[in-house]
Amino acid sequence: METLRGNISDTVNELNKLLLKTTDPEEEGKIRKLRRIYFSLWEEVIKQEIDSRTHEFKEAIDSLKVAHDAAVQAKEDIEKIAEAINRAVSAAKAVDRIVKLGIDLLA
Amino acid sequence: MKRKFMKASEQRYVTTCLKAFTIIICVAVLFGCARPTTHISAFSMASEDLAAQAIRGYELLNETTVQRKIAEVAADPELLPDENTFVGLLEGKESLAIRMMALDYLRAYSAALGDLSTADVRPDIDKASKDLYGALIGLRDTFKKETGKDVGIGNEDLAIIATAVDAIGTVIAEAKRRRAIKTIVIKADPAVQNVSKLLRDEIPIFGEFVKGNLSTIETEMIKSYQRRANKLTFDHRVKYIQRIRKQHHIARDSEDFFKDLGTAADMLGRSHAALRAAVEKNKFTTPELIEQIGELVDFAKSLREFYKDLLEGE
Repeated sequence: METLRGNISDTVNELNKLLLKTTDPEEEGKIRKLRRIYFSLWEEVIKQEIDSRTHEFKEAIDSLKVAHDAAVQAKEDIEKIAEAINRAVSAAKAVDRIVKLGIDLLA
Repeated sequence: MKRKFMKASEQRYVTTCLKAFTIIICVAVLFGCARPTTHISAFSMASEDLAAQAIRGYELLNETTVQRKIAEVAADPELLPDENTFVGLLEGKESLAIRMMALDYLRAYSAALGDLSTADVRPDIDKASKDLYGALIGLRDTFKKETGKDVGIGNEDLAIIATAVDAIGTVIAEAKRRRAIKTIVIKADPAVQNVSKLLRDEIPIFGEFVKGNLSTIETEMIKSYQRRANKLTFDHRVKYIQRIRKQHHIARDSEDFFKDLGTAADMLGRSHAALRAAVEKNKFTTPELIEQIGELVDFAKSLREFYKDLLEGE
């Protein structure tokens, strides 16, 4: 069964790989901030009882998969890193709608 | 840093290591033992050892979280450390701390059962039984607090155990001791099964998080190397890369360690079930139980060595 934590883990892993690819300080800063957000969300997912039958849950899983795939593509083409960051932001927002951490996400 | 982390369980580790040596002796005398409850002692020591290793897993979860936060702050010059930087995953999250307590009670239960099976004088029996009640009450309360469900041992069960232990008497008779142990194992089994299942299902989840922590630290080490490489001598670059390699191996192996901890929790439950099945037939030695004890001993040893490899050389 798909889990939020498993998909968050995959996305964090890809964010780390993207961080190694880029040398742009602005992108590095965004990726690091995103990664910190993902760890905060991950902690909440571990802590909370998440109902996997909701629409929000499915939406979050789908968003995380899109973010993961975008990050994988960006590893091959660093021009796509900005797009991967945007996808990861969207996925973080989708997860936050479930755990309601209310963290300050990237614009 | 890791030395500091290990101190938290150092005393317990030394104790369990010393006891582990005696497991071999206990198992060796299983087939023609001097005391019918000797294998109970062997079982309890192996169980205690496994539970202690699982506690280390929780400590690893906590510590790697703090180490990752430190790496994050260090990687970004605009960030400053604050009190949150030094807060581990378990701290401030009661539900996770409760699981660690449950494991410690499971360990204490195993230890007390072993002590009860080998005590030679009444004061030792009294101490073991006091430890046993404390562990079982702790198991019951922590499980209820976390899950909202009864763990499977109530006040009535505790009273029955107390009566059975009292019946051992001042001059310890083996038959009465065996009856007491039989009562304890049967009454405590539902609690042991419930807690071991909870841990079996959840511990591997933490392995993902620990690996995420360790991989993030590795990533920041590589980024740091990228920035500094052209200013370093060849020798310094080699040393730096070797440090990264070590971190890479730790991250890679950590997930397996947590999977094994989950297996250990499962093994604790299965071994106790085998013990229960044996004592219900008034048998203190069965082929199944001997096999389970053997597996427990092997697994505890393997986990101990794995943990040592995981943190060695830091």
